[in-house]
Amino acid sequence: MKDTTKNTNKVLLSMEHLNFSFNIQRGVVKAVRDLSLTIREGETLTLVGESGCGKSVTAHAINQLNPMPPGEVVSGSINFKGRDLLTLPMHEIEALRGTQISMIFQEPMTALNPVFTIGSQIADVFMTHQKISKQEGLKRAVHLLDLVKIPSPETRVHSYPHQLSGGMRQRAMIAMALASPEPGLMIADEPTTALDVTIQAQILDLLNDLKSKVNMSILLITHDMGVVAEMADRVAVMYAGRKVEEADVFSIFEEPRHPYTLGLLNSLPSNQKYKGARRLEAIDGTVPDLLTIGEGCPFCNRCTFALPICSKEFPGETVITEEHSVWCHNHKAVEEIIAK
Amino acid sequence: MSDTKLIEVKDLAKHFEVRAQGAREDKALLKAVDGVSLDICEGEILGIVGESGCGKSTLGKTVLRLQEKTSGQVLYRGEDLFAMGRVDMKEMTKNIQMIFQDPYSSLNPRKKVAQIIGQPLRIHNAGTPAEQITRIDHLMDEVGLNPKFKRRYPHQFSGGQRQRIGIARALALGPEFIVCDEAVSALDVSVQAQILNLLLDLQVRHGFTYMFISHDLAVVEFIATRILVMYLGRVVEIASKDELVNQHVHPYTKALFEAFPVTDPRARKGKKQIVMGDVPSPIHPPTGCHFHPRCPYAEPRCREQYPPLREISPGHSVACWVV
Ligand SMILES: Nc1ncnc2c1ncn2[C@@H]1O[C@H](COP(=O)(O)OP(=O)(O)OP(=O)(O)O)[C@@H](O)[C@H]1O
Ligand SMILES: Nc1ncnc2c1ncn2[C@@H]1O[C@H](COP(=O)(O)OP(=O)(O)OP(=O)(O)O)[C@@H](O)[C@H]1O
Ligand SMILES: [Mg+2]
Ligand SMILES: [Mg+2]
Repeated sequence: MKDTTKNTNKVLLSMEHLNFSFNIQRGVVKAVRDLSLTIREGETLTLVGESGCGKSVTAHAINQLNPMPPGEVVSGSINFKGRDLLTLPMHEIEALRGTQISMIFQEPMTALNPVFTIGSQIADVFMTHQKISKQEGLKRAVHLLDLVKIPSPETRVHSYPHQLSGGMRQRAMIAMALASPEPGLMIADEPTTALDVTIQAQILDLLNDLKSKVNMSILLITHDMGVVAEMADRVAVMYAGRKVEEADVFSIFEEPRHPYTLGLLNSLPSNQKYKGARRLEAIDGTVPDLLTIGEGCPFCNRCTFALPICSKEFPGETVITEEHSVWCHNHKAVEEIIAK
Repeated sequence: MSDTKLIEVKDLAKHFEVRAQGAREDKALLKAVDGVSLDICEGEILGIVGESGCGKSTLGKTVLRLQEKTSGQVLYRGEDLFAMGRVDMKEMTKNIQMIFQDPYSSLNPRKKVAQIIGQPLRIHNAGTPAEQITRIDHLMDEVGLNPKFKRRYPHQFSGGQRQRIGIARALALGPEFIVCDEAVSALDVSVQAQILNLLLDLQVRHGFTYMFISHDLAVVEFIATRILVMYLGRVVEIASKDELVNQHVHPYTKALFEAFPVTDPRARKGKKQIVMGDVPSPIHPPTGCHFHPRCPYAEPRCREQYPPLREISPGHSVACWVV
C-alpha cells in the first residue's frame, strides 16, 4: 500500500542536466554532474547524501549563491515558473530571492544581520515588496514570529539575533522567509543539523505545519536519514556529484535499488535488523576525490555489486515505477537482495 | 562483562566561573557537572546521552582527571584519582584514554601520522625507538590504516581515517578504560558504521571498558550496554540499555525518545508529543527540577526541590518526583 497520494500538482521547478564545476588551481572539481530534479507545488523533496556530494552546490545553483568564479555552470537549465533562472539577469534573480525562493541555512547567523533587530529585518522584507510603513511592517513581523511559535513575539520582535537561542534564530529565519508575498519555494540546507533533537523536532514540525498552511514547496537538504523519513515526500539520493536514485520516501526506505542507498540504510544503527546485534554492515572505503573522478559510476570502488562496466561508464536511468528511478548497471542484484 | 567495579564516581561536581552575560563584571557559577554518581564495571559500555551543553564532555574529562574537579571523588580500581601525585597520575594515564569528537582539530596538522600515534610512547618511554616503530605499524594495522601511510600528514586523510588515527593514538599504551566523546558524530553514516564496528572489535579483542558519549540516541542505543541520561549537569535516569530504551520513565527521557527522528517514514504519523521550550541556560538553571518548565507533568514541588536519584527497579534509577 502506498499512502502517498501521487502528487499531480504543477511542476514548480525543474532542473535539467545541470553540470556545475569549480575551476581551482589544482584542476576542475566536478561538483554536480548531469543532475535533473523536479519539485512540484506543495511537496517536500529531500536531497540526501554524504558530506561533499554536492547538495549545497545544487541548492546554491538555484538562487545563484555559488561563488563565480571559481564556480561555473558548465551546462544545464533551471526552470522556475516557466523561466530559466540560469539565463536571467542578476537583478531579476535578486528580486526572486527572498520573494518566491527563500533559503534557510544550517547557521542562521549567516542570514541574519547582527546589528538589526529581527523585527526590523522581517519588516524590511515586507517593505521591499509592498508599500507599507515600518510600523505596519513590525506589526506583521509580530504576527509571523507568532506563526513560527516564538514565545512572547511582541517582546522578541525587538531582540537582536545574538539574544536568541539557536532554535529561536532558526525560527526567525523561517519567519523572514515567510515575509515574502508568495513563498513558492523554500530551500532549507541542513536547517536542523546544529540544533538539539528536541528543538529539531519543533522546527521540523513547524515546517510541516507551515507547508500545509502556506502551500509552499520545500527543497530540504540533509545527510540525516531520520530527517528524510520524517519530512520527505520524495527523495533524491546523491553520491559524489551524481543523482543515483530517486523515489517516493517509502520506496527509498523499503525497496532501495541502488547499492549506495542500500548501504546507507544498512549503515544506520537504528536499522531494525540490528536489534541485539553487535556489528553493522558498513560500506567499506571512502568517497572518491572529485578532482580525479572518471566517467564511471563514482560508487564503483566501494560497491560490492560492481561489474566491469561500472568503472567505465555511468549507467543510464532505469525506471522502476513512475515515481522511482535508479542509475545502476546492477540494480537487479540489489532487487534480489531486498526480495530476500 | 564482570561485576568488578572499574570506575566509581561519587557526587562529582565541576563548576566553572563565568562572566554573567550582560551584567557588568558579575561572576556567575556554571555548574557543568553537578553531583553525578555512577559506577562502571569492567567490560561495560556506558552510554551518556543528553543535549548540547548538559555536561557530557565535562563529565568525561573530569572522570579522567584531564581537568580538576570542584568536589566529589573518582575511584579507579578503588584508588582516588584526584588524590594521586604527578608521577602516579602519569602512570595512570596509560590505563585511561580519551577519543575526541573532532578528527580535524584534535590532531596536530604539522605532525606526521607516525609521530602523532607514537607520541604517547615517547612521553612514557615505552620501549626502544625500534620497538616503538614496530608498535606504530602494529597500531595502524589494528585500526585499519595502511602502515605505508605513516609519513603522511592528517590533512591527507579522510574524516574516518583521521578518526582511526585518533583511536590508534588512544590505544598506544594499552589502556583499559576509554572515554569516547562524540567519537563518530562528525562522520558520515557510512563511515560512522565502520568506526563503530572498529570500536566494538577492539573492545572484544582487548576487553576494553568504554564510556561512550553521544547526543545521537541511535548510536548509543546500538553500542551501549547501559545508558545514562543527563540534563543540565545531572543524571535524570540510568538503566540497562534494554530497560532504558523500552521502559524509560523520566519525562525528559520520554521527550528525547519522542523527538528523535525514527528512520521509518511509516512511523511518522500518530507521533508527537513534542516537548516545547528551549534548553535552559546552565548559568541560571530553573529552580527545583531543572526540567520542570518544559515538563508536561510538573507539580508544585517540582518547582521547589530537586528530586533525588532513586532506584525504581534493580539497576534502574530515576530523578523525578512524579514517577
Ligand atoms: N568554492 C568552492 N571551491 C572549490 N570547491 C568547492 C567550492 N564549494 C564547494 N566545492 C566542492 O564541491 C563539492 C560539493 O560541495 P557541497 O558543499 O555541495 O557538498 P554538500 O553535499 O553540501 O556537503 P555537506 O554535507 O558537507 O554540506 C565538494 O567536493 C566541495 O569541496
Ligand atoms: N572551560 C570551560 N569554561 C567555562 N564553561 C565551560 C567550560 N567547559 C564547559 N563549559 C560549560 O559547561 C557546560 C557543559 O559543557 P560540555 O561541553 O560538558 O557539554 P556537552 O554535554 O559535552 O555538550 P555538547 O553536546 O555540545 O558537546 C556548557 O554550558 C559549557 O559552556
Ligand atoms: Mg552542504
Ligand atoms: Mg561535548
